[in-house]
Amino acid sequence: MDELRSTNIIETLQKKWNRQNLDAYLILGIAISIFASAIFIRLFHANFLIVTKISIVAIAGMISLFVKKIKENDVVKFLNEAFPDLEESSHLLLKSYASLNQLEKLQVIKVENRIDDRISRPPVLRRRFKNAGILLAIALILSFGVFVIPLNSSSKFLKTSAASVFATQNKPETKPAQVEDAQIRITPPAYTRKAVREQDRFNVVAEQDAELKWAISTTSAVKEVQLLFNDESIVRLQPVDRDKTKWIGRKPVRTSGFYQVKIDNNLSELYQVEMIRDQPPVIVVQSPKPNTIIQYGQPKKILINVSISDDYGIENTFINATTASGSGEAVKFKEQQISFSNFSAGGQKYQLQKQIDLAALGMQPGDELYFYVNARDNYHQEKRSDVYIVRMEDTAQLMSMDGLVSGVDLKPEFFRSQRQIIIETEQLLKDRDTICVESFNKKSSDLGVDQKLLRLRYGRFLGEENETEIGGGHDDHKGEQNAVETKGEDILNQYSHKHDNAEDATFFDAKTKKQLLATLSEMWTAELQLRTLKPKEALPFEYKALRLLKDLQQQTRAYVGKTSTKTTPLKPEIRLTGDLSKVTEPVIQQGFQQKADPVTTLRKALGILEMVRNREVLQRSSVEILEQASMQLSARAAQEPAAYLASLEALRRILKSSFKPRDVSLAGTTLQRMIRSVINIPQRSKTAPDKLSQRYFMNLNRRND
Amino acid sequence: MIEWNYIVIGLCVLLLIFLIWKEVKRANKARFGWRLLATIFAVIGLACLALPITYRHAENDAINREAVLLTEGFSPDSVNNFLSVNNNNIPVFRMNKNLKRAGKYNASYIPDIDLFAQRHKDLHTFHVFGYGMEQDDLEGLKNWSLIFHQAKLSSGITSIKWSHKIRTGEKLFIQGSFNNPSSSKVKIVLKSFNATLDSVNVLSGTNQKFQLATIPKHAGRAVSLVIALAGKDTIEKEMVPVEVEQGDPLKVLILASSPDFDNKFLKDRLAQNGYVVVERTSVSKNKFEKNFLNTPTVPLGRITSSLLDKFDVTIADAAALNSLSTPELTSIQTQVAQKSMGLIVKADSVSNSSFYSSSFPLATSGNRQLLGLSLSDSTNFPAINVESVLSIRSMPGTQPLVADKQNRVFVNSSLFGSGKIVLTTLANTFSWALAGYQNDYDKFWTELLNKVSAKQVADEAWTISPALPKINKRVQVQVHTNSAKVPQGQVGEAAVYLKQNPDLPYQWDGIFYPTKAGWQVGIQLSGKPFYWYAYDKSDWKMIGEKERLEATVRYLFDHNNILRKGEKEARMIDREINKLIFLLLFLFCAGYMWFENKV
Repeated sequence: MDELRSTNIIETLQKKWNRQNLDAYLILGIAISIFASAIFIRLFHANFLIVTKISIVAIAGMISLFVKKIKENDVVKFLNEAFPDLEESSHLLLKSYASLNQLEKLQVIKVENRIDDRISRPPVLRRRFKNAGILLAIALILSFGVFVIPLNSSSKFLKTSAASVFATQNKPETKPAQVEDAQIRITPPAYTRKAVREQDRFNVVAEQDAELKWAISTTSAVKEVQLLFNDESIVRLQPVDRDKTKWIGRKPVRTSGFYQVKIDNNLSELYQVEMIRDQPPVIVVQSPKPNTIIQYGQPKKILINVSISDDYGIENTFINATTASGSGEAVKFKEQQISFSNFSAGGQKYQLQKQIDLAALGMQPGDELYFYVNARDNYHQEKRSDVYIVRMEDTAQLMSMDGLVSGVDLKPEFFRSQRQIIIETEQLLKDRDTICVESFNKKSSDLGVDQKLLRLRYGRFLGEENETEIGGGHDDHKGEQNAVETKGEDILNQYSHKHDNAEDATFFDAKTKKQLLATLSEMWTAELQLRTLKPKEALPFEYKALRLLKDLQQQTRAYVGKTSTKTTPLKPEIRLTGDLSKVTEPVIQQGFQQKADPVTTLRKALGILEMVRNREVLQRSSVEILEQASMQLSARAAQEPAAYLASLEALRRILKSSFKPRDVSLAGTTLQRMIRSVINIPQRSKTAPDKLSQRYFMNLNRRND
Repeated sequence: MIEWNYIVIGLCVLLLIFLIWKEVKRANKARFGWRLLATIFAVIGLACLALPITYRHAENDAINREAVLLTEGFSPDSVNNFLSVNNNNIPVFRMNKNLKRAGKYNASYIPDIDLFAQRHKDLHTFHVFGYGMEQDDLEGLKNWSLIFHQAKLSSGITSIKWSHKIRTGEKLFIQGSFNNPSSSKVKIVLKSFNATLDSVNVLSGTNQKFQLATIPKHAGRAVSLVIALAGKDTIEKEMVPVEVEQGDPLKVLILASSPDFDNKFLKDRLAQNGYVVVERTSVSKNKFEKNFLNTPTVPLGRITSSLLDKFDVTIADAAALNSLSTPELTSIQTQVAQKSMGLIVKADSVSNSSFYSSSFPLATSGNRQLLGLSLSDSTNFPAINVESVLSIRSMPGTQPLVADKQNRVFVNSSLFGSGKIVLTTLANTFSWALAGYQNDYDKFWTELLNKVSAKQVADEAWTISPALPKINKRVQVQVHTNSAKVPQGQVGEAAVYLKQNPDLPYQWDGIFYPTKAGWQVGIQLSGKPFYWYAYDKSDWKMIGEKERLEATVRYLFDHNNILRKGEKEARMIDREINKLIFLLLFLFCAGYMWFENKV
């Protein structure tokens, strides 16, 4: 039994430490694989699942390869070293009790009592655990960082170069025969914050104002290497070595276009230079609406909510606000720039807000605020949004008596009443702090009654003769009050035959009536607010009702001009008898020069392409027309190489009479696309000589005579 | 023949009566009955000798004298069916050497129909399978009876028509019909230099008419393609050669009673394109503003026929025509009637009485309207605002050019003598040009001017028939010429000798066999080339097949032959009875009477 116990202890220790050792390595492995997969996923956009599987396999492999198992001897060795109490004899515990000599047996008994399974793990293991834990923490922090920190320029380089390679790969290219190797270095302008990149293809996609540097090495020494741009400009490459096999040239990208490499006298095919133009900033004003009216009583503030974006970065942005105050000739403008508080230059996309306090701008009712948002990108391109208008309603205008004095007025008393109600409501609100609650409520209620009376009087204009019919939309409210009274009437209405409709029994036209109805509706709401003792809320509705009434009044006005003017009496006897003999007749003679129409050239070229397809021998003039068409196509290709370059090459092959049938339709398709429309002008048509019908016509005439 | 029969019978009856009377009168009454009988039979025998006596019998061996003739498009099923119903020994022939699927039937090729006729006299009936034959081949089979086992037409364009030659800016219309027996929709696409210009869909199971339209962009010649697509499969791909010509510019005289924007715009537009335009605008009493564009000045004080000779078209407003003196107006009238000058009159009020007004009665229908006008070919114009709506009532003998949606005519045309008159009530067409609808403005005036201007008589005109000439097939080359010389045609390198039409001395015809598909260049008498297009044999296949089918059916109809699709019917044949029998009968009867006399 004794023997068993002591060996058990050693075995337990061995197993325990083995497991702990494995755990430490596992943590280490997880730490490394987390970091590695984070980098993989972020940079190379690897699939998450695949990365996980790979890392699991890697961890398992690492553990099986590197982790050494702790053996019994190792445990014993450690015990002997770490615990002097065991007197270097723990190895005896491993041996079978019977095989031991007497001394050993004594020693075993002595040691056995001192050893127990609470022996702490060895410091090596402890350190390993600690290190693994620290590494895991670091790995977690780092990989978190990898995901959170936006892509820096190095990863951007990888991305953009991939994109540009895809773009240029659309057009297959062949290198000139003498070129052994070509390196084209594209240096985008600094403000784009894009990295320099190199490619070995001649077709280039580059940012606006990027610098291109060609490094061409030829197979043998050549006299000169040139680049011909858009058939116009030439860049001579300079030799950099004595053999004249390495040549270098530079050119900034200002436009899209195409170029050819000319080595000695051999011209290459056409390569395209596609320029990525710097786009101006895009400004979207999300609020306010293009035309905002701030009603009386609404807060005198507006919130400007803008999103601004640009392809490389915004340098500056601000709101240009202009306030217009006064009216007529006395109108005054004041302009000021307001900057966004949450803006910091350099970003590509912004969502900006600005709260503008109209009162702080010194705006009074009746004034207007015009504003636009301006943004400038770091290429110094400026862009403005549309102009937005904010108008503060001028209630004072409504109160003026001008219209009433000068115009035709059908119903002045009612207007005065509505105005009176407004004035009294405002007075009531002013007095609110000084009067007691009861009298405030009473006054408000009284005003509601006044408003009701006014509404009823207007209702008469619509042919409404009792309270029950006023304001179509509010019948339900009314219905509750008057349910009992109207019930009998309703039943009567169902069975009785009425000759006139109240709606039609007035002098007003449909439009006026509609507006009047809207006025009544506003009045009703105002009345509701007044009666529920909320005069402040009633005020906007009162104003609106007044404004609608004002409009009504303006509509019914008519202008009649003065009619009495005096003219010199006519003398009919001398009319149209002037002596015109000295008057010379205007004669205009003019010749219009017929310019060579580019469309006509293209159209003729299409016809000639058909002859080419038919393998007919072309005349000199036909070839000239094709050449002119080729020049037009070349100009187009300089602007949009991606769309026109292939056709230009095809047309040039046709002109060199080394073409495939495909080239004819390729060139034809593009020429056809370049012709927008064919001019439709009258032309003489020809007819076959037809003596028979002429004779028929003559005989017909003779018979008629 | 019938008359002969009656004569013979009449004579024989007379003879019989005479002979019977003689018998009755005869003293010797012995064997009277026998003699009477012998007389009757002798006369009958005599009559039968003279009359063609036939009998009808069902021919049993007819099948041995029939043959099967396979033509393009035959259905193997129906041939197999026919051969198995009849015995399989019927000889099978074919007219086309490269007929597909004909090898299975051991069909022997007939190179020449006349030679064939010599060799196979025993055959008298052909069972024709497929789409049939062309007219020429059918004529060779005149001596045989034909039984036509018609084949069904497969998917394809069965007819087509387009103008091979059009003028710049004109719309090209390609019209035809497509036979689509399949169950899927077919799309017909018009393409030129790989660009799709127009397309239509043909519903499944129909023979539908279609129209494709485009304004060709090329000048000179080009071949467009008409492609029939079922899904992604190309069913048919045919070439449509079109030649676009630039016509000569017109010379236009404008007479205006007052300065006018419409005239100004038209004048400028035409002059910018190199047209000769002369405008005379009255600015005061007998005072005119004169504009000479692209032409030296000419006296314009009076309108004379020598002045009008210089112009193709005169555009005048009604007031300007009214203010002319009577001889001036007469000279315009005779110029239109006799020298086919075109006259465009712009009317702005109802009251008018001139030589042209009877054809164009006007009616006002309201003020200030927005009109949606369209051409007679249903091309729509943008809406135009008209101050006073003045419409033209259509009269017999007029052809409306521009009308609105309610069919009110605003531009009408009529013949006047050898010339044409167009009357328009639209006075502000320039508003189209101002509004940026330059194309519509051009279209409007091009339509009017093209309509009114007389066609120039060319010195010669060459035409080719058929419309779709094919290689190694006969093509008729025809020229109309005024020249007195004997013309000679030339196509490519080959000369075409022309024959004068005996009835129409200005028309000459010749025959040409194109050997190469594609554009053919003919040389005109003036030395200028003229172009036409020869197709390969396989082009427009369905059209050829449909033509053959129709030709065969027509031939059968004309020759009372049998057109059928199904069973063989028993043939009844009239056969003449051998005359020897009647001769013997006559001799026997006559001999009996002679012998009886002796006894």
